[in-house]
Amino acid sequence: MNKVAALGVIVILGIFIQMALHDSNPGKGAFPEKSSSLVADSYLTKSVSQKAPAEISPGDTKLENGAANVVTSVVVDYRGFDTLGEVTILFAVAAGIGLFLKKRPHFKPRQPGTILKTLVPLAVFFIFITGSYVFLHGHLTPGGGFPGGAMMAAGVVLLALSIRKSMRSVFFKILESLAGISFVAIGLIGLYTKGSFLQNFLGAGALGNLYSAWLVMILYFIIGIKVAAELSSVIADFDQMEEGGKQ
Amino acid sequence: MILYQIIVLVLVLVMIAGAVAVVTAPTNFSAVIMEGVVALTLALLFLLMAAPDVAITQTVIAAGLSTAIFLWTLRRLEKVERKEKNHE
Amino acid sequence: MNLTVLLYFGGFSLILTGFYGVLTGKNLIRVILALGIMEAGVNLLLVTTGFKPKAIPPIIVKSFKTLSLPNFADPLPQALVLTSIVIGFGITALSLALIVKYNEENGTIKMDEVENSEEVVE
Repeated sequence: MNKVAALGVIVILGIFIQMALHDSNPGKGAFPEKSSSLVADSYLTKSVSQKAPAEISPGDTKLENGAANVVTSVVVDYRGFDTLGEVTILFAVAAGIGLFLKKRPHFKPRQPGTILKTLVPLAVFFIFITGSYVFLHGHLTPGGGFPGGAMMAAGVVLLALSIRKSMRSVFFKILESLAGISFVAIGLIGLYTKGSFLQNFLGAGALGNLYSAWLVMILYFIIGIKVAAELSSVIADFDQMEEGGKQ
Repeated sequence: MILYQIIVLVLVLVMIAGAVAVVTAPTNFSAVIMEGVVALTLALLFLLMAAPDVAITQTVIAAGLSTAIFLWTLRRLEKVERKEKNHE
Repeated sequence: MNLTVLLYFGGFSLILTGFYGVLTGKNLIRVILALGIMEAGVNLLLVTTGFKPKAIPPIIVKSFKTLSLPNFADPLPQALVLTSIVIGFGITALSLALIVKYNEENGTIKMDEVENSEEVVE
């Protein structure tokens, strides 16, 4: 009976969505004509606060932002304040999980098998190298701080499964706070030298070089460390609660 | 181009089937695994839709770490349930 | 076959399926999973708004004239979805921690049983 009612609600909602999508009145419906000027065009031509150059090519030095990967330049540079908020949410999540899942007094980890013990250090080595590659090249190739940090946290999952000593999440929380403080400090330096929070005060560099888009590169490094530490602290908390239960 | 469209169609169908499987799965464990399947298919779709950044993030976080945390929780919950059964 | 329509269809089907799961799930884990499905659908919709057929990833590897932009996919929804995926993971982890806590308090992860037992107490 419940399921039939829910199915009815879903069907009615689906019909409404279908009607809204195919509304043929001008200015409505999901498939309008592409408007001539999108916000993203000024991100792509690097012309938000200055005039767009006539041509953009790899190696240009006097651009507004030197990141070849436009998504990265949006996430860290143009909308860096959003990212600060996002990282704050992650901090709140890590703190909340640490509050809910306290360490149990009688925590006895189970011993891992030989295969895990032997092979995990090798795998973790390569996972950490891949993760740091991804967040150091965030301004050139797809990826960046969030997936890179998450890759390193995946390495921490393997470590948590293989070492089986009780992991302490305090270390990760300290690392994460340091990264957060340096994020805000870099924003404040931009405010002091250029007049607005998180402004690029280091110059753009040559488009497509490894050493370019300095602000994006440094901030993505910090974000990578921060995300890795936060997700690792979540994982360490989940690992600690595994044995035990209400006595 | 027609091959591209066929691949996208197949991926969308697999994704919808996986979503239905999550909702109707008999056990929690299979539901979690199907959620991972949906996330991975979605990552492939993002890759085909010219969004490689999103695809990488979706693979690592939604398909990898999310599933791992769900499985950790399930193991914990199963242990509690087993203890209750033993007490009974 | 119109690709954009197909992708919109996929996104809305995911949202509706997830909504059905939220409405009918009796088990807290299932509700969280269904919310994850809904979130995946919303992400697909957002990326679809920036997608054109034959789009290329928004990474500058060749020179182009700014007056005639090549067929880049829209980078703005992609950046927003990048944020949304990470926050979705945070929400999932926090709700799982709450489920563990709930299980410790009530000894179950089903919602109906707790409501019934409260009625007995009254």
